[in-house]
Amino acid sequence: MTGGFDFKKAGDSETAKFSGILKEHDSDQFARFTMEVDPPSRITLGI
Amino acid sequence: MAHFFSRSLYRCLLRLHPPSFQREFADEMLWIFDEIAAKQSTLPLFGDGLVSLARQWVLRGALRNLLAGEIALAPAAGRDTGPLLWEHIGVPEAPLPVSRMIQGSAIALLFLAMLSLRHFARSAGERCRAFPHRRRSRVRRPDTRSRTPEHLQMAQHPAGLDPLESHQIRFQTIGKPAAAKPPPHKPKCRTHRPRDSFRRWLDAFNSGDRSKLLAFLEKNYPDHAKEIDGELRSAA
Repeated sequence: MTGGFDFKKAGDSETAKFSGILKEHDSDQFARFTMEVDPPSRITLGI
Repeated sequence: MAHFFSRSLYRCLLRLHPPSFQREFADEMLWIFDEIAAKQSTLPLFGDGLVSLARQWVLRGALRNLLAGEIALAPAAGRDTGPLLWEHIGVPEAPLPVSRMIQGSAIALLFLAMLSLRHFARSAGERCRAFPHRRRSRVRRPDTRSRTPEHLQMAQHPAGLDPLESHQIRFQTIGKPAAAKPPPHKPKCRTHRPRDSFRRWLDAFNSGDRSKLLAFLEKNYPDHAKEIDGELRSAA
């Protein structure tokens, strides 16, 4: 139906969230996406 | 020159939209306009913009009228009040405003949700009473039935140790401690940067490979793994 997406433009980029704009392969439809992940775990270094 | 003119026209069209819509979408719509204009005609975008303009103002205007309707329909206090009592208790002829209907529906839903929660809590309590062993501690206590009083004494208060400390030690030395519950497994992928995660999803999605996409979803978004067929259909 879409033929997949092309990544076109990056929007907001935060620690656990990333958004941007995609374009369908087979048409001129654009879509806005937001990807959320778990926040990164804290890493402690000891010397 | 033509591009500059059409771009300015499209920007004017965007500025005619409600302010909240402009804040949310105007920049992206203008960016998409530039993308399309570099390759093909922008006439469809003008059509889309006009439809969007009408829709935004009609919908938002209708919503505003809906909310304001309640105030307009409410009878003004102190107006047309005569000396007789029935004139003070007049029932308004206007139907119930839609906003009041929505309010009433929300309250009814809230009430039903509270009833459901109460029922759920009660059934959970009954389940706990039916299976009391589930609430017991998993720490295995020492078996003192087959021991002599001397052994028990030693076990309860070893020489030279504080009773509180001996209590802790007894479980370590006599009783076998329960195996520590391992922390829930979290896929490493979940803690990566969202941009990397998105790139992996896009690779899997564009490949059309069911197993690849399923592996990604199961690892990172288990709830979405059930909808993989829908995703693959849209990727086809």
